[in-house]
Amino acid sequence: MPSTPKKILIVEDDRILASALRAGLEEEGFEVVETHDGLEGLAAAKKYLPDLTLCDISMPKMDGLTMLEQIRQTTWGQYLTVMMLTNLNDKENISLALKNYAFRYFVKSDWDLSQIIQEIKKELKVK
Amino acid sequence: MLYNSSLFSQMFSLLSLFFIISLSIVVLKNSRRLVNGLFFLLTIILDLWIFGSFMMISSTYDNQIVFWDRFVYAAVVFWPSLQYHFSLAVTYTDRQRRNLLAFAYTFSFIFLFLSQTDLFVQGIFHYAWGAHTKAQFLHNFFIGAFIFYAVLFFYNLIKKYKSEMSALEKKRLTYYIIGFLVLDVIGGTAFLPAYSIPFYPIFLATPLIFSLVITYAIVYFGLMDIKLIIRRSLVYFFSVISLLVPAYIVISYVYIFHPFYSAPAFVILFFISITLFPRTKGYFYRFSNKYLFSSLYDFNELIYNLNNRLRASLDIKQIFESTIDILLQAFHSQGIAVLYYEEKTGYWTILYNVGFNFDSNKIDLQYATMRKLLIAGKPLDLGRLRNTPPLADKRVLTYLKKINAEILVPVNVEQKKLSSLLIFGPKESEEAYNHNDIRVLESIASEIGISLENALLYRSVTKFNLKLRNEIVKATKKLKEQNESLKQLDKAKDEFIGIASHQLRTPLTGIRWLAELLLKNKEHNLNDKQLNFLRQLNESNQKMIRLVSDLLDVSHIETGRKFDINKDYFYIGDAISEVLKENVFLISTKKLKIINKIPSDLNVWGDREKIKQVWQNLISNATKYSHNNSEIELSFKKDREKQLIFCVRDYGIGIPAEQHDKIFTKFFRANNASLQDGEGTGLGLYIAREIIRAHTGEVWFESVPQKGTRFYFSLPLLTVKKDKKITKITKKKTK
Repeated sequence: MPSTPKKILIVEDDRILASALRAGLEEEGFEVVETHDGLEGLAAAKKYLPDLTLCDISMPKMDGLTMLEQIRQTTWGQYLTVMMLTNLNDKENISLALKNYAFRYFVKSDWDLSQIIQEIKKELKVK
Repeated sequence: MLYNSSLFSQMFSLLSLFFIISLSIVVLKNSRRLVNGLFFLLTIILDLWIFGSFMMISSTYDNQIVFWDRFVYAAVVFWPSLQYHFSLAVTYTDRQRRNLLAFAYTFSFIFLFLSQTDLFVQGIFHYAWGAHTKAQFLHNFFIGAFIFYAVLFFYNLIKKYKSEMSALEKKRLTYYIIGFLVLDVIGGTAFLPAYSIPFYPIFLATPLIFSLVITYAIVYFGLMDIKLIIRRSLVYFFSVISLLVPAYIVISYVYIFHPFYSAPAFVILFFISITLFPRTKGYFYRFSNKYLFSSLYDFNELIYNLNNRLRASLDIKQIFESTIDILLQAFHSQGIAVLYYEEKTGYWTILYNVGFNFDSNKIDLQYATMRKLLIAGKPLDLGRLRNTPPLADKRVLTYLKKINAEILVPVNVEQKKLSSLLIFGPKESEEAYNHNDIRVLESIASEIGISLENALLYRSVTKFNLKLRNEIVKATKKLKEQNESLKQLDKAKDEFIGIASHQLRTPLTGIRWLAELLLKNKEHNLNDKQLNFLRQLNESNQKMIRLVSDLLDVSHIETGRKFDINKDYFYIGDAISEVLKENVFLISTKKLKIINKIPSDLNVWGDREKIKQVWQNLISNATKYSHNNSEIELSFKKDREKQLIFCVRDYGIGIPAEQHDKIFTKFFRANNASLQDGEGTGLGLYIAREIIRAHTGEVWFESVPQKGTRFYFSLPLLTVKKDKKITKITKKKTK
């Protein structure tokens, strides 16, 4: 286990998915902040400055891409690692996400929870 | 004085003789009809009369005068009977007046003999302008008969004139009456010297006047239908006379005043006349063409021109328009109209009209009446129409007369079906239409009929075409509408599938992840049975996720969005390993041996996830349809450095030959496949092919039922140089 646990922000409007992610990540020793829309996510990101953000796209109040865009416009958010985790796998969304330097783009249903965590660990260099 | 007057008498009588002989010859050529025959005989009598009179005037001795006078009487005694007979023939009553006629001829024959006796004429009466025998007792009877039959003659003709309907016939009768009146009244003065009444021998000119009147009638009103014959005759006779008369005058002059030179003068004049004759003839020919026969046309040329025009057109109106000016040129009619029969309305529509005063655009000439009038397609000369044909409606004829129609020419199509009428008014020259004209019109009508038939055929074909086109347009419109609504429906379906799939994915992912968390069994409080249930739950859920994913792909393809292909270089071997891992359960269950000949570091250019999906579909199919304990072989080859061809080979059930062409159709499943695996969607190969095509590659297969199947797909190969460069970057990225 790492000495200081890595902070992960979850922005996901589906509470079941959010809690599943949270449970999976906490089991692996991550510190998890769970939010349910873009606005909340943006505020939490500013507040906690997470090591990695998992972000859905279609959400109430503010969608994930807008949130990402706004994060990138701030000084603190420029180097934030953001993984898009969504069910929308069309070209426009992907290219928009990549334009704003999303680190990875996952189609949720294609991935096991463990695979996602594996990818996160890989990125954060956690063993 | 005596000489001079005698000279004039001689000239008059010679001219008269010349004309009347010409007329005789002309009539002889067309004497088959009774009227013409009788007329010929009458002119012969005039010939003999004038000839005899001429000889009598020229005679110096009494016995010569008596001889020629009796010669004249021998001919003239037949005048009353022939004249009477002629009047009967002209009025078609010769059969009803047989007795009177027989009496007349008997009288003539009796007087033929009596006129040669002294009881008829005896002695000579000399007077200032000539001499004549003196009439005796029997002569009075002859004069009585002469007057009696002359009166009957005029009575018959005038009666006929009054009852005659045809304007043309009336005109002809008028000319007969004038001609014979001249002969009988002025010519009758020839009898006056017989009763010792001196009278200038003006009668010698009567045959001349008579001939001119009759000739005029022949030329302009088709009297006796001998117009064409008379043209040539007229030209010759005028040519001869125009030379002969001056020659006669000159010779008479020379003979009287310089008798010594008369012989050489005669020779010189003879040669001059011979030389001038062709020129004179040419002049008169042109003259007659210009003034007397202006509407004479060349039949062959007319038909030739007409044919040329007709051949050029398939339009009904144009057909008539192009023919009409030709006809106008030929006949110089005061009016020409074309009526076209409209079967639907039963009216005749005026297609063309010059010179007629129709009261409306559509005319009600009863069709049945017209058909009766125009039997066998022959043109009808209303001027010559003597009796109304049985069953014909008189109102129609009255109407035609009112508008001054003279000739009706039927135009028939399709085996004698009356379709159009050409109506001709009188000729501008007021000449009548002769037999030749009618014949020409008849053949013209048949030419027009053929063209008209073609035009009608063309019109009906065009009509049909138009109708067909309208139908097609209608049907196409309907199809388009249907197609549009189907498209809408299809789009709605795709949208539904898309939305449904998206909405399904989230809860399915929830199940997936939560089951996964449970399966970890961190608390160790789940027994094996429970864990097994969880695994099965997870597996069903995975199936569902794949199905939804497939449906989403299909909806993407169908809505035209195709795939969002994100191309990059990737190691295809890695992707294949992942796919094999996902299928490991079924592979181990069926104890299949996987022979993978594809190196793990083979680099390809494409969308990793999509190509992986292709492998997933092909490998899962191969696994599903393999027999237990068989092999599955994965291989590849380079094709001419242009593309990579991958192959998945199984030794399974194969694809029935009759279903080869349907295998890539979406939702299609081969019969034996359904038996083997009830759960397939029939989307895998469809999606695989769409993915490979989006990479500009192709998918195909070879299959033998119960022996196995090889599925191939190709991916384009990029140049090695580029290949290496990008590989490095990708490696950096991925590691």
